Amino acid sequence: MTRFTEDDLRAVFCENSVREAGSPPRVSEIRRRGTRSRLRRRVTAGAAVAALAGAAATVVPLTGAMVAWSGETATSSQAGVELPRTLESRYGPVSLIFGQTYRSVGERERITFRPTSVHTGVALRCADPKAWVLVRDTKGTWNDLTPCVRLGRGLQVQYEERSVTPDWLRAPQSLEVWVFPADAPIGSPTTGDRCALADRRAGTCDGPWDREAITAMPERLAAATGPSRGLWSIGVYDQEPRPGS
Amino acid sequence: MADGFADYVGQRHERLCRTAYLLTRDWQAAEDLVQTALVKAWTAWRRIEADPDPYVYRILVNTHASWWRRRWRGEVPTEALPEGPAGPDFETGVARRSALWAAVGALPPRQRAALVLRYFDDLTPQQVADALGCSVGSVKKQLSRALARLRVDPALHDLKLEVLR
Repeated sequence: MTRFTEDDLRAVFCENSVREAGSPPRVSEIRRRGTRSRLRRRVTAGAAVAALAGAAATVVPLTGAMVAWSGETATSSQAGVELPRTLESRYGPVSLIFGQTYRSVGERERITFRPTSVHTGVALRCADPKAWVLVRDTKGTWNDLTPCVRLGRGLQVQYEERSVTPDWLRAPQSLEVWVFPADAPIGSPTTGDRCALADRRAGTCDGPWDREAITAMPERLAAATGPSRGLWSIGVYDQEPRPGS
Repeated sequence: MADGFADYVGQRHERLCRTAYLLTRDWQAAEDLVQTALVKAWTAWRRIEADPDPYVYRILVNTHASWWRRRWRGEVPTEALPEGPAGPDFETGVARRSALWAAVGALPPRQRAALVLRYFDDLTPQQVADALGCSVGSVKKQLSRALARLRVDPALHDLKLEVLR
């Protein structure tokens, strides 16, 4: 009769758990996933608190860190990203019809709103003026990747009769918005022309990301930077609907 | 914080992968399991930095248990048992350990986890209990049952495990 000992068990475990070469630890990916997990927990906790407090927020997303904008005066925690109730525009005053404040950057956000005129405008505010903003409009056209500070304090975009879609006043419209942190590895506008080590497939140029590549595929930069904390708001402004429209 | 975490991952990653492999019997699943455990450890790093191992082992075992419940409930390990035990070859260490490896693979996950943590990671019964989230008495019971099942395993029916010290 053969006897097995504890040492046999140790030897079996040691012999069978040896491998030639395993994958190296992916610390950066661990941190990215950890950051995302933390954000999700905070959002969930925040949503629970808001629900208990009977907050006016009506939209609680499953992903991303977002707080609904109810149009009140900005709180101290939202300093720098306040959305005024009204703004002046080339077509006259416009009022806030939709607004949301987000608490993370480096993730795709999509907003949906219902225009009340063809002079709808969009305004963005970032707590960090050097954060990068990229917006795809309802026609699927990307604007330029721009530091938030360059957007000014007025409307970033305003539509008119010729630029709206045929169903503008008949159906909800949406925008896709990406805000990247100020330290995201984004190359200068002229980097692409004097790139010593361009990787067109990866979209990088001597390390930083090529702006054209980001505009084409912002998901790749987002995957590289991961989500992080960052406060920003987006507001949609519009004119009062004309009587009879 | 970040450097301490990176150091910990650098030092412990391979060992944790080996532990995870002994739980899952699949290297890909093992790496996924360790990655998931380390993500959770990273989110709690400030709290566990002084002694992360107990926390990480606990996450590893719990996550594996939840994966097993979700994905593999009702499945029976299919690893082939070695050829018939008759003959002098069976008496060699290789054949003996091969049979033991297969038999351990057929144990319930919790019993297997107790064996792996106790005999591969050399955790004390108290540390195993912390990882499994149970009492020391329960760990001893799990180990005892595991060894008892190995004793009656068909492939090991004529073998005898020494009494647990």
